[in-house]
Amino acid sequence: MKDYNQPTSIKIPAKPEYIGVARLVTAAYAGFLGFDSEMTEDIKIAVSEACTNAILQLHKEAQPESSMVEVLSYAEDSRLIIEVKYPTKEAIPAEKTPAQLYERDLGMSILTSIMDKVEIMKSKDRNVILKLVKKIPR
Amino acid sequence: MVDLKIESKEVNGIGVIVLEGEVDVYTAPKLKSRLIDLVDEGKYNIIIDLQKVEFMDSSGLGVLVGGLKRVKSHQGSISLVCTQENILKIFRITGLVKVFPIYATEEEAVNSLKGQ
Repeated sequence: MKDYNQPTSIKIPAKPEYIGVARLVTAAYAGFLGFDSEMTEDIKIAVSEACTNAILQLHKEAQPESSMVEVLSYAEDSRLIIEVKYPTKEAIPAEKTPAQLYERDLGMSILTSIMDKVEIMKSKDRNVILKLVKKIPR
Repeated sequence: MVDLKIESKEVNGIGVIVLEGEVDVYTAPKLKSRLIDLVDEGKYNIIIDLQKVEFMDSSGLGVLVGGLKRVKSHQGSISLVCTQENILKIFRITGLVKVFPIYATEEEAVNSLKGQ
């Protein structure tokens, strides 16, 4: 693994046409960390699914078009962590699983298959964070 | 900029859609619209060529599944042309390899439909 331990983050407007930008930035960061092209493609899909979910949720909640989705990537304990964060008006009960919160079944089955771990949590500042984890290859 | 080029043609009475680019939540509605147009034109057996698709996520899969439901209501079918491992992978993960016949070439897909 190369020494690219500093987090990288990108904020995109909550509009479908910007998801490709988040995919490219995160894929480039994964490449820095040593993921091969096949795994990088998986990470692009995961980011796309997570951002799509975020944007659809924001539209469902009728959040303003100026809402932003943040994609934060960092390395921790030999794992790539990607946090996709977006604001929400809804309360998230702690006992719900990502699958219960994630309405798009195809998207969720892809996410859980290609990433090692998928978690949903809520931050103190009323943001939903979809956390994706993938072990960095040696 | 994410883009998806969609070309349609007819081969032996079969509607063929050739895609080039990326299929995600932004571009998938274009594909959905083209599929609906083909069905409205009376083409119920459709081949979708994914050989030049660089990226596809569940938004694209959702449109394909929706299109399949639409043609099946007219006893039709959707066949895919794809050999790219990164695209085939999401069909495998979601079990859609059992739902869509997938061929290596457009010719194979056409011949299979002609044989039915």
